Amino acid sequence: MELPMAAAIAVLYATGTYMILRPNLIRLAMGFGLYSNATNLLLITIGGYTRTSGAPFVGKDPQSAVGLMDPLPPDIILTAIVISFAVGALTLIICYRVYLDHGTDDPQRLPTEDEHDADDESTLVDATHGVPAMAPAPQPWADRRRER
Amino acid sequence: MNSLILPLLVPFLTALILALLNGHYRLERALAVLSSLGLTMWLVWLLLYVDAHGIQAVVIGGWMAPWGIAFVADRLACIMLVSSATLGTIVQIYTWWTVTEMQQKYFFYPLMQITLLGVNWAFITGDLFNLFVAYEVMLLGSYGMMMVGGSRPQVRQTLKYVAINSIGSTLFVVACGLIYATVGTLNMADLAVRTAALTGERSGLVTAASMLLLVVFGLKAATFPLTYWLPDCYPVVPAGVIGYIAGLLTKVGVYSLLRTFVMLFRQDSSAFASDALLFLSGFTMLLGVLGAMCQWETRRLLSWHIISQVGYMVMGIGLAGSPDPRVAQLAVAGTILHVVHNIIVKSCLFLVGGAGERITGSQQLKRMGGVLELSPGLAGLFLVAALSLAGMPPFSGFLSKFVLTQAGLAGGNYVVVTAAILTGFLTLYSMTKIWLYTYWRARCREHPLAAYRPLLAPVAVLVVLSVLMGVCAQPVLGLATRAADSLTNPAEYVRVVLGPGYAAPRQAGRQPGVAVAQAGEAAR
Repeated sequence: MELPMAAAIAVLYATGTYMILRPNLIRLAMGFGLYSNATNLLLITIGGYTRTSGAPFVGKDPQSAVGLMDPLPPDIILTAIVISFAVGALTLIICYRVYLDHGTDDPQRLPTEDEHDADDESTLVDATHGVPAMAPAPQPWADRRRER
Repeated sequence: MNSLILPLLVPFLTALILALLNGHYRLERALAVLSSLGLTMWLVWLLLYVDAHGIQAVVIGGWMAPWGIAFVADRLACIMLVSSATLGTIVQIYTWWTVTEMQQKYFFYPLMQITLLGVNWAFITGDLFNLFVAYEVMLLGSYGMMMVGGSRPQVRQTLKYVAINSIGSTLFVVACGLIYATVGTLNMADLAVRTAALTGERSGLVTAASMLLLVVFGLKAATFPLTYWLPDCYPVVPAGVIGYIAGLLTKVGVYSLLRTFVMLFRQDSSAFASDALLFLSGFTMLLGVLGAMCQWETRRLLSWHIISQVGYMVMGIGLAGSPDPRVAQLAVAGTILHVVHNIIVKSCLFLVGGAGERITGSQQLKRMGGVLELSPGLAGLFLVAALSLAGMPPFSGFLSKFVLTQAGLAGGNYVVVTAAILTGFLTLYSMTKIWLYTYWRARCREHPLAAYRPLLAPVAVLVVLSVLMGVCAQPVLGLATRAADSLTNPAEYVRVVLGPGYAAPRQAGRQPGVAVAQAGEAAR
């Protein structure tokens, strides 16, 4: 069973790598999905999956470990699936936000310099807050300072 | 010791409560600071307790250690936990004055607490796969913190950060799988015992899997070929938080390298890993400092310096592969000191930079100036932190670099030591550049002079810590040496986690899954 699994894993990794390297944000997100699936297949193979192997403690001789799958890799896979689901959802959202911000899904056409880098003082914008750096901060201690 | 779960439980519960309190801005800030402060004090007690009474461990869910997940507080983990919690508290006090209500509305403090949770988890876990989960929690928190506010450069750079870390996560799971298939365990104590007995083919397989882990942790720590995401991503992080992210997240990668390559992978062919680490460290140091020299923006310059400082730590981990145990111990102690020193000083420099930005309204060196006459206090704090980073004698940087250089010379690695000393000089050069442009020269334009004075207090605490670390060199070095000792010789770690009756199985004792299934097929 290892040879077909290895072939499937190789194809998935190769496709994933190809998609990640394409200049397209959605393909990037999908490429990571393929990566995580390939990894899960790898873990199944490590767990000793064969055509005859079964889940532990089910329908076999309870005294013998022969022909059973190692239960730990499936456990790892479950955790990895949950995490890759969360990260995948986040990646899609960020891709969509980048598309909304810049009107393109081609990472090569995104600006490389931050907007505030080249600008002069009149349009100086704090890159991190998105508010003009000159604006008084609405903070309690600022009020006290003005009174003084 | 069931209370070892507190470093996870406290930030987690605080994050939940803070998320529910959304809208009560002052209460939220106060609660976040209080919870972190309490946790820090408890962790300091834990460090003293562990230093006096030895390593503490707890298995989660009551499953015995090689199968269940163990949380282990050894001296290294405690040192890292105390540094992380202290920094977290100080940064949260600093953000009291820099965070905007808009950022708080988008769950700034809950995200910060989740990142703290992930970092603490990574330090205290005693299981390789659990370390992966900790990394993901930490990364999800930091993705959120990077994007809080949601300006265009932030979202764009976060995408880069998410993408490169997703590749890292994939490799991490693959490496865990391969190690499990070869060695048959993921528990760190068990791994330490089993890899030490490995020879021949399997030893090579473990070295191959450990190289995957080197890529994963190297990516997080931004070592040589995997550095380029860092100087792009870090400058967009909101002011204040950058102090935490820049100070700590790369150090979690360094900690994992230290834990895995010094304690876990001690198989026959592990000398290859030490050589690889030494080779990478030299390039990391020089590339980082050369990258910093040509920058004209404070945050970008300091971000490149993170890379060059990580080079020193990786050098220490590479030197730890030396056959002479005394050199190895010295190198690990130097690495631990440098990690702690760097957590303090690097975030201090970023926080000072944030205050300077409020005074001058710019991050560009060429448009800042005259801060020395406007705020001599800030200039003084910067001077101490900068000299400490460059490794000038009375401060913490001198101590750690001295120990590392000594280990390098004792091990006969003259090339990498030369690179380290050269990097020190060049660091001094770029710190001088910041000093000349931002502080010393006359004002070059009108400054907005946003209020900055309260920001000096948390920065001053960090500077005092750095000076104390340099002045009280002997007790600090003693603690680091004891931590290094239990890392290079993990007998105590193994005994505490696996119990005194644990006997190391022989190489063919417990076969991993593939072999079991194949044996089954063959029998049929």
